[in-house]
Amino acid sequence: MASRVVTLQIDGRDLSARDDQTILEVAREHQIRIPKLCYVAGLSIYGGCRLCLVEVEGTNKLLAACTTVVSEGMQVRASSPRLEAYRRMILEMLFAERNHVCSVCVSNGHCELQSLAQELGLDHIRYPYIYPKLSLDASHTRFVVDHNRCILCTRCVRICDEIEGAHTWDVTGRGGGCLVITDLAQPWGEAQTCTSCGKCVHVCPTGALSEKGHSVAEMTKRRQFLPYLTLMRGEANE
Amino acid sequence: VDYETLTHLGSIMGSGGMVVMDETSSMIDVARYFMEFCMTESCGKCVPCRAGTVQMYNLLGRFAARTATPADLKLLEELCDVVKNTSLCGLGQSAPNPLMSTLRYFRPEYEVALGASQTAETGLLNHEACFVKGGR
Repeated sequence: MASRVVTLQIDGRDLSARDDQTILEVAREHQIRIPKLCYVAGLSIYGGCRLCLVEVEGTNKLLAACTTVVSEGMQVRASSPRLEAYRRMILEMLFAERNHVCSVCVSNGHCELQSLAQELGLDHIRYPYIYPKLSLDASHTRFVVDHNRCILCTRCVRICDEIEGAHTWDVTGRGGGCLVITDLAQPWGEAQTCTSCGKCVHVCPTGALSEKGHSVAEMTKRRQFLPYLTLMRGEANE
Repeated sequence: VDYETLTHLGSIMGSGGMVVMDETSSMIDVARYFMEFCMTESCGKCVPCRAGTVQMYNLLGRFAARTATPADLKLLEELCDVVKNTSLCGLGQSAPNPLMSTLRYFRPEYEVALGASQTAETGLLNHEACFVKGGR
């Protein structure tokens, strides 16, 4: 079905968009920056990180820009002191939740969590650190999963299922006890469905998934293939 | 007892159950009990509910152990606000409710539960101070 064109405002800018686009897609098209961690263009929408929450005129609730479809006359505020404060607090909760020690992390300097914290001016973590005892699985011949750095964005789960078609990754447990797992919680090296394509590693925003053979700050993710996800998806949709 | 009155009081109907407590119940323990429920029931999908309920539960533990500081009280209130307003579903959005309403109606209980150094100047034992300040 053909989509219609609607007009809306984001941060006071008059924009036009298709009525099947989300606020986040429209904002990105017009270089309006909205923080996000779980969203990756081309993968299914998750809405779990809550960093892309925006204020929309006419509703008291904050809406996730990645899950909210635009409508005619919509007035969106993508940044405000209140939103910035919430975004910083959500990042603080993430940092306190697991053991994100940047100085000894393979992804130091190339980490989306770290760069978002810098961008939003987060200089202290006021919440008590939980310091959970989490494992690291290096049983795969080429890759490592370090649960201490995982933020449970499920990008790895979605890319493995939706793009590679293997569905090696999934999430086990609930609440604070969630963990990403391979197959039925087997060591990654023994996961028979894994094709070792490495897409999960390169889509992972932090140092949770990395390639072996990299020391501190050496793990740069190769994201060049990501734009093709939207290209492939776009053609499939039409 | 109807929906509107309960909403006005900062409560919800839920399954329609009612818990009766007398003045010997610690409101901090009550808030902590409900927070433990939300923490274990959280599915873990969104960050504020998954990580926020754990933080609030742990901070309430400090109050229960009488080791909390005024800064902890501030953090607790801040966490209520962020978890309520940014969580994905109704569980996270209502998880801070028992904490918020006990803070609203029984704030002195939290204040006297601050670490020993904070209440020494009142010259009262914790439970005495609670009675006086709580106006009961």
